[in-house]
Amino acid sequence: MFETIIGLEIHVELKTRTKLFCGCSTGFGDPPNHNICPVCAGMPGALPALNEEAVRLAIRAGRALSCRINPVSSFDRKSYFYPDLPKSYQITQHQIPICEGGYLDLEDPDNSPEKGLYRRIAIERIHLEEDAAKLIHPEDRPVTLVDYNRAGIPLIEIVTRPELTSPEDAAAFLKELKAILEYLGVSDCRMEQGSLRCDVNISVRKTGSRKPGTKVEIKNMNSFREIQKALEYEQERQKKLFLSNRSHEIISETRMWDSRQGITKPMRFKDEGRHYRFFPEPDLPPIDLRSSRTLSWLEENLPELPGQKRERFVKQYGLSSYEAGILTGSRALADYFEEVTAYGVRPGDASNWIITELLRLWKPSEDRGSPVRSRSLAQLIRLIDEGRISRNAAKEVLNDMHAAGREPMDIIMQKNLIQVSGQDEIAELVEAVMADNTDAVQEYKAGKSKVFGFLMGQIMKAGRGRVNPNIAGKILEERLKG
Amino acid sequence: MKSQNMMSNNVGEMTISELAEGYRYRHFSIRETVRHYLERIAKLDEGLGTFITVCKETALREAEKLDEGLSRGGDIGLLGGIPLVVADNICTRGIRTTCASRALEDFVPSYDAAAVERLKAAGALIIGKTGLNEFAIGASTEGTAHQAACFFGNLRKGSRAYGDLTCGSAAALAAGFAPLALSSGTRGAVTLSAAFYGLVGLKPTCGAVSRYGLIPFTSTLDQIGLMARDTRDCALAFQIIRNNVNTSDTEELSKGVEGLRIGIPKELTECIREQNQELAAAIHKAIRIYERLGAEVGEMSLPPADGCLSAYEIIASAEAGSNLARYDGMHYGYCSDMPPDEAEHNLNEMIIRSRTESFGMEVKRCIILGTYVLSTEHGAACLRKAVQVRRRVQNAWKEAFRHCDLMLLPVLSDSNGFSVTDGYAMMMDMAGIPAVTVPCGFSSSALPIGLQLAADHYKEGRLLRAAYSLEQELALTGFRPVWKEADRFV
Repeated sequence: MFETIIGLEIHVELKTRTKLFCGCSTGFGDPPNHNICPVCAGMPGALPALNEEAVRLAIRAGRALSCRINPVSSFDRKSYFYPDLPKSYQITQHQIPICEGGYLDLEDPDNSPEKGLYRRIAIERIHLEEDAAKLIHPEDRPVTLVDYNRAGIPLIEIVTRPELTSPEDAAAFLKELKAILEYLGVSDCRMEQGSLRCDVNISVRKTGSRKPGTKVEIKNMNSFREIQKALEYEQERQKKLFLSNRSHEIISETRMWDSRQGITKPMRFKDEGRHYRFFPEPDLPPIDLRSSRTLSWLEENLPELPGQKRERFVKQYGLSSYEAGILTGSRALADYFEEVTAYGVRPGDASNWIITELLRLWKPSEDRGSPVRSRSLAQLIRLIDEGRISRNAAKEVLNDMHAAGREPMDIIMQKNLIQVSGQDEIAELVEAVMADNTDAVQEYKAGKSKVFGFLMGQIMKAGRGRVNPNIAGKILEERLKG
Repeated sequence: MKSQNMMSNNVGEMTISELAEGYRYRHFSIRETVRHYLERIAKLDEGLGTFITVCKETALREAEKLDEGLSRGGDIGLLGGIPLVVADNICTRGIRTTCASRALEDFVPSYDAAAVERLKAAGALIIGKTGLNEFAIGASTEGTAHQAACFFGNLRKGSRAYGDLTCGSAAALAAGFAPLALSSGTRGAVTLSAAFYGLVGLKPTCGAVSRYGLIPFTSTLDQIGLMARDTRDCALAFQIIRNNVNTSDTEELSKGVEGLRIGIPKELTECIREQNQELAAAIHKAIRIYERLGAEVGEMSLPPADGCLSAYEIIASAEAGSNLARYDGMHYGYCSDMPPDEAEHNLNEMIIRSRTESFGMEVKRCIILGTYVLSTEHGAACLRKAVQVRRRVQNAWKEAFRHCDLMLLPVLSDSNGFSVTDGYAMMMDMAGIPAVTVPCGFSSSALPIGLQLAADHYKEGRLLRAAYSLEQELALTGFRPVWKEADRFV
């Protein structure tokens, strides 16, 4: 039927303290035009000086993606006039990028041996460049505001070969890439803050057709979900045009994703035919990695990467690959899981509690650790294991632990949530519930066994979740029969 | 008062060393010295037009502070209280820096150029900003915002100035407005115009002095340089502004030239012999002096490079086109007076108008050529070729310096049109090597004659030492007539 080919261009802000060519802070959320200086504001006579940390991070990313690191790479000027560009040119790497020719392996969702465990997506290049300023278009006024805080923040642009074959693949690729970059400490990869931005190219053609499909670029997606949705929409749009014999209407263009309507639209202002007048940057020497000091950057130990960690989690902890996938989604989360198990919690229990309960409350990231300490979660799980509290009560305790950062025992004592396991005490509760629900009891006796569940619920409710459900169940059964 | 008389008589002629000594022994105060310079500027500069901005208040205020420091017995620095002129394409914090262009007519930098910062830290005080061709581009100031050209004719009566862009600084020194100038130049602008006005000019090795704050014209050829009345002053200031401080150049000056191998490029001297007898005689005299001092002098071949001028034009215009792109009227500098709503909807139109209205013809010509070079196949081929020519020039000079320690070249400062010495100056810029000009006499029409010395990269110490030896032997110091001519225009 149809084949889809997708290529990605991903801009990632590097996690450096200062900008690429000056000493200004890269802090996010500072007042507009606060972190600027003559260099990043493009004042006359100001000259760039390269931030070595950015080079080091770019090399880390390149190595993790199995790229060739060019021993000598250089900067070029990309010229165009726009208010977000203080010098009217962007300093980027055009001719010789720092990294070339890598790949990223995507785990096959089916994981079937005959299809191979992985699909390899080739990466064409990674290059260093400076970010442009941020343009703000206030809705209430007909003006455009410019915030130069972002101008000069170091970026790497990662360009894939057009080898992704579906919107799901594109999303999976981005997820994996984001995890890798986070693990490496290369970037925060926060799409909502713009520290990861992605332009996509998509083309669709009839299966077997020799002619390549027409390439359409889509911009303006703010999450991986939106990227997938935009690609799905665009794929469908192009297929429909093929099916209605209007494939000539597919033209090479840049389209904007409109998240409100869920559609892609042609850009109002086309910037095609723009000539960037690339030109070697005379103000910066080439990046030469052949000195003994910089050579060591090429040999630095890389941390365990998500794929490796996932494999280990499956092997070492007996987790499913689904669970391992979620737990290795970020380095902070993976570390958290391993800490909880280190306190003696069974890996399966730790995985369950983290995935089904904790992740409801906490979105893991490098600098926002879980407010529930790993030691406290281990303690809570142990209390359930020992039968001291019920699972339901434990959920309530976890909520409080998250909200107030308190220890589980404190909350349990204060709220009196210790599980009631005494036979007499529970029997009393069961009888009281039966007395209050004589109708239900009658129904049960008449053969409606479903009512058992309702009665159990009433008992748990009366015991405010503290009743040991096993014991209560046994007693209820006895009494109903007796 | 004795000191008063002494001052008003010769303040304009004084060297840095002489001023520093005067301050140290309290022959005169810094404030009164600065006042004298300012008065001289007020009296004479209207007819010369060397300055774009005179920094009267700040200079006097600085002078007062330094006087106080001095009276408390404090250290006021190697250049304490020395008035300095800075070319107006070099950024000065809080002082308007226009590049002689309408595009930057009201631009006040919030930063000092690295070299300015160093000179200020050593106690120098900026007395004014001097004129140049718009953005240091081209050979005339015609059509630019600041027609700073009048001093060409006035000081040298109709003869063409070389290294035009530094003329403001060179003429200011010649007119006795300051003892030290920080300037910039390509095409031998520092060395040739220093020779033109009988000054010592030093163009350091490309990379020896930070370009930070020098508003770029052609990044790979621009270079900050110095002009002063004698070699010692030049060496002193260079010691302050250069990047690596290892040895003391002023101390090294008196080491002499014994054992140095000095090469004379025979293609150039032959040409000069035909064109200018007096200059040829001056070279001959210098050779004799060096030989007497124990140097080994010999002719060698260093032909002018083919296509050097074209290569220069291509490289310079490509770089200038890119460097000048930032003057779009959106961020700072000149912005076309367009109704806000019109500008809002037509950004490109606003940029086009701002640039059209603010740049002079010479600058526009350069930008158009640069855009051609960077946006067409043929242009790109030209640029590749130009870079090859530059590499060839670099290799030729490298090779030459394997056979000699220094090169001695004449400076033809009195012809009309492009001369053979311009070509050699351009080659030296392309090679990125240091050069110094020394005054070595006067022509029959009482105009200064200068010689130029060039050395391999980072050999400024050797260069200044040889210049100093020649200067001492010629004993021309103390005889500085050019500034006196300035009085005639009052």
